[in-house]
Amino acid sequence: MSKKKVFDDPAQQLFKPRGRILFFKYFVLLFFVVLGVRFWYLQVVDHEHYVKAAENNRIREIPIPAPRGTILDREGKILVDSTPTYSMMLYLEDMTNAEDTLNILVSRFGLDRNTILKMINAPGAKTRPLVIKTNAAFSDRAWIEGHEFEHPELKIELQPQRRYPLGEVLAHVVGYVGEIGEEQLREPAYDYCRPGDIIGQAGIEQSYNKILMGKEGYRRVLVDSRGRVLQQLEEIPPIPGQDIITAIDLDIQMIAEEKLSATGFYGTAVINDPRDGGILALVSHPSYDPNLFAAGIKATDFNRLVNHPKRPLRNRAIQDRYPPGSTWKILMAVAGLEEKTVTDKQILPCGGGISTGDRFVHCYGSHGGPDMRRAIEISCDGYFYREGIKLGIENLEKWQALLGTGIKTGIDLPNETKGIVPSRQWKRKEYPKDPKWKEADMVYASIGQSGVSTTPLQIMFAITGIGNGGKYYTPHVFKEAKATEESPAIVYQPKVRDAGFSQDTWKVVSEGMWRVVNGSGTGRRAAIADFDVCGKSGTAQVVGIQSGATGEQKEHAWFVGYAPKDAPEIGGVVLVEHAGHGGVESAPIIKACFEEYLRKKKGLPKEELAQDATNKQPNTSILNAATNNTVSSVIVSVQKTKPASTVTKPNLSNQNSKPTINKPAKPAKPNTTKPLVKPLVKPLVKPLALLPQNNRGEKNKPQIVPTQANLGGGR
Amino acid sequence: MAGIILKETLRWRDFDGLLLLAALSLVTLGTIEIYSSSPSTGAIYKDFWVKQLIALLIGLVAFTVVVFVDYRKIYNFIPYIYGGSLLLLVAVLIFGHEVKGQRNWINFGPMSLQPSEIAKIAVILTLAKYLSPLRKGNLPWKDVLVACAITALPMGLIMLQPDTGSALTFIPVLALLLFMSGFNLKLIIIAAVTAIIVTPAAYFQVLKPHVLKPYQIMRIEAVINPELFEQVDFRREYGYQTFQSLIAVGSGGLTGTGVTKGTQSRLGFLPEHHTDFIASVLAEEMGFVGSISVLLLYLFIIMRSIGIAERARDRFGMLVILGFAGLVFFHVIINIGMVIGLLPIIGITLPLMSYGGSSVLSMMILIGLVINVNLRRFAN
Repeated sequence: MSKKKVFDDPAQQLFKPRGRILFFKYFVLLFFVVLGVRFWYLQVVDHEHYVKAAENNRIREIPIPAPRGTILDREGKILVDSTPTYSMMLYLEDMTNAEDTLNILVSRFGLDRNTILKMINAPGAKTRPLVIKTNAAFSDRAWIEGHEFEHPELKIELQPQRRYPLGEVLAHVVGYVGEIGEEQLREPAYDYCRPGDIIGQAGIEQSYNKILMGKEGYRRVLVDSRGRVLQQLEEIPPIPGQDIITAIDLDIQMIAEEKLSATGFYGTAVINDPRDGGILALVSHPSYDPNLFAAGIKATDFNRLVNHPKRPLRNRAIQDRYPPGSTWKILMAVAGLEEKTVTDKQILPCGGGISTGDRFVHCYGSHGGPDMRRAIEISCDGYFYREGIKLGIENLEKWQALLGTGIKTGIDLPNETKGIVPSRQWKRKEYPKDPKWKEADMVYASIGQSGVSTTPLQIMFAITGIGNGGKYYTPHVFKEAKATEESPAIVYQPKVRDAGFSQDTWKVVSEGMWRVVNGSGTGRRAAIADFDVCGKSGTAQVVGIQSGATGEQKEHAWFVGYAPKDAPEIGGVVLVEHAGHGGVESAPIIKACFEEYLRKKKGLPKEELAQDATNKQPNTSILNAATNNTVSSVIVSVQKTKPASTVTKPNLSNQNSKPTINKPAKPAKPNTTKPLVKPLVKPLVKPLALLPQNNRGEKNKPQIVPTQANLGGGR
Repeated sequence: MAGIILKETLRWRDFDGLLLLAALSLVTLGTIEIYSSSPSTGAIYKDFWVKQLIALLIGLVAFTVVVFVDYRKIYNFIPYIYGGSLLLLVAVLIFGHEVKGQRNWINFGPMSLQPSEIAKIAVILTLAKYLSPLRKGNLPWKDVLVACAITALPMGLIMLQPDTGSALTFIPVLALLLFMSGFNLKLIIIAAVTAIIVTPAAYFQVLKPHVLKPYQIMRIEAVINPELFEQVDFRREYGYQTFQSLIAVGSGGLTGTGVTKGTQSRLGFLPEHHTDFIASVLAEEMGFVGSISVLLLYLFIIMRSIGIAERARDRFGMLVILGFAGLVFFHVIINIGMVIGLLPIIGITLPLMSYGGSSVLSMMILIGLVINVNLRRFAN
């Protein structure tokens, strides 16, 4: 094809496929219109949407956690605080290759793949970076900081972590923290929370979460496409949570912890101030270490705690019900006097028991014919069988509620359980085969069996309320939330209710309880000189078990009391599981706590109360000795202080024989003055592992008709 | 009458200044956005925008040369041009400078050449030359096969680099030139109708369940269903680049954020912002006004070229210009379609605007050819 032929043949050269060219033109035009319309939609119609998307792209909000308020005892001693720890964070927005990141987390940092996947898919992941590892080791931090460029999605941040310096002590009161659950997020009570928030999940941490939590702040930063921070735009500082002062008195708490541990049994003790309802101490054994939760509890640890037969997570004082045993007789007495079914001088025979229905129900002894005061003092079952029959179930039902059992006390700790007090209706419901309320049922109910079942806190609430002349102060742990720059102080206002019984009734019953401790009663081990301790012991049947049994089968030992008699300042309850007699095992614990209270009230140093109560052992306080250099001058100084001191009575001969007197002398009674520094956790660990499974059952369902042998065994 | 016309060989009033102006405007806009989106390297001669301007200068020199040489004289050199470009394509496979696993460039000192851009000119010229004689009736199958072979040879070499995006651009040029050279219209209509019917069926019945990989399906479906982009996971895995481009375009609004104010490109969210995604940068910083202006400039260049093709004095000139128009059209549709999320991501540049000296050079040569043909439409 030569050039000439191609370009000079007009027929060929002038031919133009005009139709096809026109088609091509429209084809081009059509496509350009499509592009133009698309630009219109993207840039004009949906503009706002993409502006937001661009913002999200380049602006990150990095949360600054609010410091959670500390929890203090009434004297300002730290019960719970927070400590900064290095946390490994995962920023999902900056994760370009999920598989790659996951592999690093699993192989390099030893994290569990499924756990991370779960976290990534949790609702919390949408609002904030994930804390994938707490307490990151130095090597972890170094690696992440060294790979900032390759893995901008991984960062190390200082995050406050909850610290429970007391460990297992007070665990049930302070509770623990954890990430908010999906169900919790839907509850109106948590409407101020966002997914991923760390909230209180038990105890004070839960009850006063809103006060403690504060409000998260954030930093708005400009990032590039790799998530590297280019510039900080603004910083909204967090609003710290408020510190909470509790009613707890750590000194009394420690005494109670130690004494309860020393029994070798599990159980619970609560000490309160009847004048305003403040809880001074609350022990529940076995306990757990809330620090496990603070770092994000491992599934194995959690399952171990939840599935443990002794259920250490439960606060026995408010969540578990026990038959109150003889402590219940106090309520029976008040109800009887108020309903005038009995008078204080009226003598009811003990008779060694009572014959009802087709059987004879024993008293543990034979007490002749006591009046009410005497019956309380010696805890005569026979008297109260008859008193109960006179009272009747309807009156009991009425008074148990007035006296604070069978209802929730309203303590400011979560998950309080209601007590059970039997009624005709209750019997129908619980025992459909034997639905009628019989005299025998009433007999058992009169001594705190037969379905009567209360939490230890309710018994304390009831008895200290009675001791207080019917003034029932709602128990509370919270005392005050300290003011911060943003939030005013919150001070607890005591709530009081009057049970409405007469002064005469109070007199009779409180005299009875005084005699329990100070007379020939069962609570003599709780007596403190010049402090008029009143109280009542109880030895509660473990369901369906013979009295005098041992180990798991043994009765629960109750003691509830308050002091002084005429104007109670302190009250308390102790329940030791399977320990036998309340007067033996539980009363000394109450005594020790009350003594600690007295010691502090009088402003004495730790060891001195023992001497005060037990006729003054030789003692030289460290305060005296510390300022002197020589032994002789110490003696002089001690001699000099002798007339001024109202408490210490130095024994000179003893000092002369022992020159090392700047060490305080060991008091005689070892059980009241064991050193407090000894870790209380230790004794708990072993029995927790060794004891066989509890067969008490979940509901603690009482047996309505015990055998004869198991009630009147004491005769 | 005819004699008078034939004497007027070259009329300077037929020099299409507007076409050149449109092209220069696009290069200018492109250079501004290259400047805006790429951080300065410190040494000015290394900055992308400076390199682009240098390429433009070289392109203008080439343009001038092309305008002054009668295109009919070039006609005889076409086999050499074609052969030379094939040699370059082979050379690049051997001596090429490897970037990200591709050998697309041959380095000449400070400059580098992308032979596939030169091959585009060569293929257009060769096809135009081969197809320009008018056949009787429909284009014979033999000629169709030869035309395909002419295209397939450089295409295959480019695929070896591998640079699939560039290779793909040859197909629409070939198709358009076959269409304009009398390819059986009935066949075309039948093929078109079949495609419209069969494509969705094939996609849903065969491709989607059996052939395509999940990520390919996701990418295709993201075009039909843009809401998929709202899912974070999807974005992260399959559509990150498209999504970032959409954000850039959409956040531009009516008038844009202003030059050097676009965060999407400057903070690195947009991938390949000075090459494949230069249109996103422009859309973000100049807004709808800018995007539409660019579309109109391209439309003008294509329509103007088609007009010149219609008035060309011979079929060779017409086919060269239509080849150019088809090439630009295909590039613009694919590139902008990708930028605004209508098409999946393919590495195809926006001619005249994307950074790339060889591309600017070849475009200026092609525009020179268009103006050349227009200048000599009454020539002997």
